[in-house]
Amino acid sequence: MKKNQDSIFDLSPKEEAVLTSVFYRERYGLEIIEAVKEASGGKIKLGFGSLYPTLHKLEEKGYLEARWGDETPEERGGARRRYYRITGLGVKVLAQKKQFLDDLAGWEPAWGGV
Amino acid sequence: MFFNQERGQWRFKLITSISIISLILFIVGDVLGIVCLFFNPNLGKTIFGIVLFFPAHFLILLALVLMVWSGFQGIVSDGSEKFKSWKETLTNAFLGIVIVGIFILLSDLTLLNVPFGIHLLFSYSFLLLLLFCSQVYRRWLAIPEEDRYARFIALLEEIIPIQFQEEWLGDLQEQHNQLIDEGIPHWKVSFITLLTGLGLIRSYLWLKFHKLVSRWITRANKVFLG
Repeated sequence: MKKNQDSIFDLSPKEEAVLTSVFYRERYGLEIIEAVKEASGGKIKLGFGSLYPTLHKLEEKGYLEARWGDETPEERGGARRRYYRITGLGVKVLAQKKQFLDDLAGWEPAWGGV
Repeated sequence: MFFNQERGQWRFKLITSISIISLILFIVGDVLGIVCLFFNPNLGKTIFGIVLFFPAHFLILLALVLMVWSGFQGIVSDGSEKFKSWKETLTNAFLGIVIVGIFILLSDLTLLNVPFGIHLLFSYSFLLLLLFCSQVYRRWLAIPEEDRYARFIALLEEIIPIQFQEEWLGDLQEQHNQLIDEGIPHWKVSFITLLTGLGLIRSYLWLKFHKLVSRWITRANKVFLG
């Protein structure tokens, strides 16, 4: 239980971005890089050097799961794509984080001021 | 044609000679400068050392510029067409020289209070590394353009474990083809692909290191926590 409570602080901004990118649909590595880049207006650029370790960590924590795609596109030299999708635990952690940030923004001292 | 080749060879010999002389002068100036600055320094010796240092570093930059230029002249005077674009070669050489120059100046500024052996070790090992890289680069340029990418992928296949190859190299190839389709200049596509390849190697090293550390932590937990 303690681990679950701490897990929202266990997410780095990069991990949060990757996890959010697969919130509504499954994506593969290059697609995640493009999604993060486009959504941030080009301000956040995930490199291949940080993407795969991040995916690995998220998979290890149980927030993501992966499957091999069926298609073998020619532009990939016939290699299959590996698709990642968020798990129930991943959704829960993102919701907890959002809830925490909302609570934090709206927090007011009970005694009327600090 | 003969006249041009003759002139090219003369220019090649002249530039090579000047670059070697510049390199020798740099080594002499640098060593003397270090001796003046670090062995029983007094005001006169320090000023003399600094006066020697800066021209010495100018000389090594000159030597490196001329070495690259002489290499270019040597190949062009052979009449071969190994260099498709001399502008590309000179730009790369210029970038290399700027990086070496910045490194040497920074190492001078930061290592002035450290024993001069460290300075020598850093400066000269970097110089040797640069010479080695220039040789690798020349050989790389000699490979036909269409083969370079295939060789790069083959090199990555040697480094990256087989379980990651389909996903990682597939993504790299897809990105490479996307960049070409977008009409991005060839040099930029090559540069991005090179950076991506280095990123993949970094990912692999991270995973390897992560696995190792996890194993250590598990073992330590067993030993200390039971």
